[in-house]
Amino acid sequence: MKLDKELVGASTSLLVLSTLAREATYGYRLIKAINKEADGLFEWQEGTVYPILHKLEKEGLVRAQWQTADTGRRRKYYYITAGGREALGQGVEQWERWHGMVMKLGEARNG
Amino acid sequence: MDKQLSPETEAALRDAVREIGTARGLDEEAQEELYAHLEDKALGYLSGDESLSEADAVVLARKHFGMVGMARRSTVRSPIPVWSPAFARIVVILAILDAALGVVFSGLRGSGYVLRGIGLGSLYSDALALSVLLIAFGLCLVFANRTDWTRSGSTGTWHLRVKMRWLVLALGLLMILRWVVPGRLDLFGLPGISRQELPEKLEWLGLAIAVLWAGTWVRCIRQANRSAAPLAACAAMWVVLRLSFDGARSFFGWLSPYHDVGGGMAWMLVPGRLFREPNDFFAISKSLLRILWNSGAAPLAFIVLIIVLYVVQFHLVQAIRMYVRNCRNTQRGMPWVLD
Repeated sequence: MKLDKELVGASTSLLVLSTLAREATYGYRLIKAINKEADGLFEWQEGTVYPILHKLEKEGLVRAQWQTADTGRRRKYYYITAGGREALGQGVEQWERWHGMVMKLGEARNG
Repeated sequence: MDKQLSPETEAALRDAVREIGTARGLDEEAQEELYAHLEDKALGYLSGDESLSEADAVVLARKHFGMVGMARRSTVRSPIPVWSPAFARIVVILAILDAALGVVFSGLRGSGYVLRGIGLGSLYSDALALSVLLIAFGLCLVFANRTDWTRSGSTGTWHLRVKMRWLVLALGLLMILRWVVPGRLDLFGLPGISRQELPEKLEWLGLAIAVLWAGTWVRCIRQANRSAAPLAACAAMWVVLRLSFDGARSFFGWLSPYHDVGGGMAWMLVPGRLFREPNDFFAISKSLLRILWNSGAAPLAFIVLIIVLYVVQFHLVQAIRMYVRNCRNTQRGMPWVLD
């Protein structure tokens, strides 16, 4: 089953921040990691992720640094900042509340 | 991912990045990041880490076995969009170059006055100054044509690295300099030179240089289809501009009663004219035109024409060609080509 695009779109920043909270990485690997986690629920393209990364960088939620990857090539790594972690915490909390409300409504529907 | 890409593939990726970067006005860092991504992607395909989607498979199938014409056209680079930041920068840089060359020539001519002031006037000649400037300009042209713009574009050409506000500031300063340099020579204790003494040939030179620079740039940013057509079109446009301007000036002269030969003839011929005396309006109009011409605004106006030329040549003509080609395709029962 594929998730609704709007649903995925609403959580794009959150997914990027949560992935970076695990490990700093660069664009290509980030896309691979998220797509792997998604396991077919959705598939992100390059055009989705890079604008989000640049927006988060501008907002100070992530910072970027060029460094040599384990492949020996220079890549632009993105690190989550303290502000980013705070935003992630708030975002997750909002999602939990949202999730709780949806579940509650779902239970009511099922009687 | 321990595979390495061949230099040819790397160059092709750099070309692709340059193409996207110039089209979207990406800065150097964004282009480097884009290259890194494309490199990873290509390596991923080669190693099997990246799986092909059905859409990718269709593209490959068409590229290798399908419409050869489409594949060929897809390798031709697109021109820079006219209203993109990259093109705006090119226009501003053209203006800077033109203004800078105007200042240099004013300086050279000013040096002639300085030499005359100290009794060495015979050392200076306009011809010599022009030669020096044209040699320098020639060297710049050679440099522009010898430089591998395609390759350097992959990491962002130098003009993309300079912030727009600095370019505009430089242009403003140069325009001021261009205007005041000849009049500021009295700072050296020599009599100031009236702008009236500036030979109009300077403006011819300014225009010619603007044309050549514009042609060079248009040619450089259109690497795939190298031809003399843009240069020829620029030169033709220059001739048209020059003739139009001379025509306008002659017309004003003809109208003005202050003109030496035949001045005010038109005015005196107007039946039922309101004024019998020379009218200041025409004299002022002529002066304004002269100021406009001598202030370097004319080359800037020419640059606007270059933009028009660019739109016509690389966008309008291309669109018409594409339309005609597609009409033929329809007649032959072939699909339309949109690239």
